[in-house]
Amino acid sequence: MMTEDKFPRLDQARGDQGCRSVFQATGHGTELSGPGNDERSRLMSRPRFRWLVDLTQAMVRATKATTATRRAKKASEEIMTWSPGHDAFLEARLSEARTEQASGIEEVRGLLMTREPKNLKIHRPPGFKLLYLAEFLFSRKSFTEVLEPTLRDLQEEHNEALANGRIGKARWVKHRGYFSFWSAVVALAPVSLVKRLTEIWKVLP
Amino acid sequence: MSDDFPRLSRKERVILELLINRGDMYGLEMVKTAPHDLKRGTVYVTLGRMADKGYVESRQVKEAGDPGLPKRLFRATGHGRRVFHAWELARAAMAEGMV
Repeated sequence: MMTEDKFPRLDQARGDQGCRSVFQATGHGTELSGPGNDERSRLMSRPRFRWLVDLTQAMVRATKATTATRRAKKASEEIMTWSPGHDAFLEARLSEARTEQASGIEEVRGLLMTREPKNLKIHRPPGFKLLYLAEFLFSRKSFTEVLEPTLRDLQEEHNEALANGRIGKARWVKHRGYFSFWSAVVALAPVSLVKRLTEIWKVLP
Repeated sequence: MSDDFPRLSRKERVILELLINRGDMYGLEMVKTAPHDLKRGTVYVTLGRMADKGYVESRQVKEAGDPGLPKRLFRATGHGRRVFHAWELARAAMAEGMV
């Protein structure tokens, strides 16, 4: 009676009628559930239930082996992850990345310190359009001897100022060159205009 | 008689003096040498008129490796030199006569 009261949950949960029948057959159900090794050896002495004990022990050994393997694998992974060599590799890579980052920051800082203009792009030289305008409006002689050298001097002085890093002077040179060009145009215009009108007058029937 | 005598303005005299004393020069070089007498806007107009009169002659110089427009090098002609010396003699004679 005591045996049946002590194992009702085991029977209900597993539905293991065979297990209960084994305990009842042996008559040592209460002692078997405890840590008694004597009862186990007594059970082992009976060849009738030897296979059951062997099977249980094999299952226990297999479970222990699986658990041990799993623990060993986890430990080995941890060892691989945090091994000194791997740690040194990570430290070297981190240091290299910091160096690259530092050099990149230095490059960016150097670029910012050069004070390049924000709208950095390739510009045409000053007087580029005026050159075509003068070539179209004036005679070949006036263009090559007066207007082209004026624009040439403008570009030369402008480039020289830019090469020396004097942005303000380059701007001033550009405006002064434009003034010089238009001064030359004003000085040439009456003569060229009269010549051009004369040519047109001669061509007309 | 006065029409045959070559006229020489003050700017033309300065330019001829520079070209005779210093040799061949560029227009901008003349302006930088005599900044008070010559201006950037009018020096080439004056040089063009002097070329029409036969006082100076010019040629284009394209330097190797220079992507810009060609430079124009000016030099005094023989006629320009004679005119300049004639004007110098006339000015000296005038100064002696006034003294």
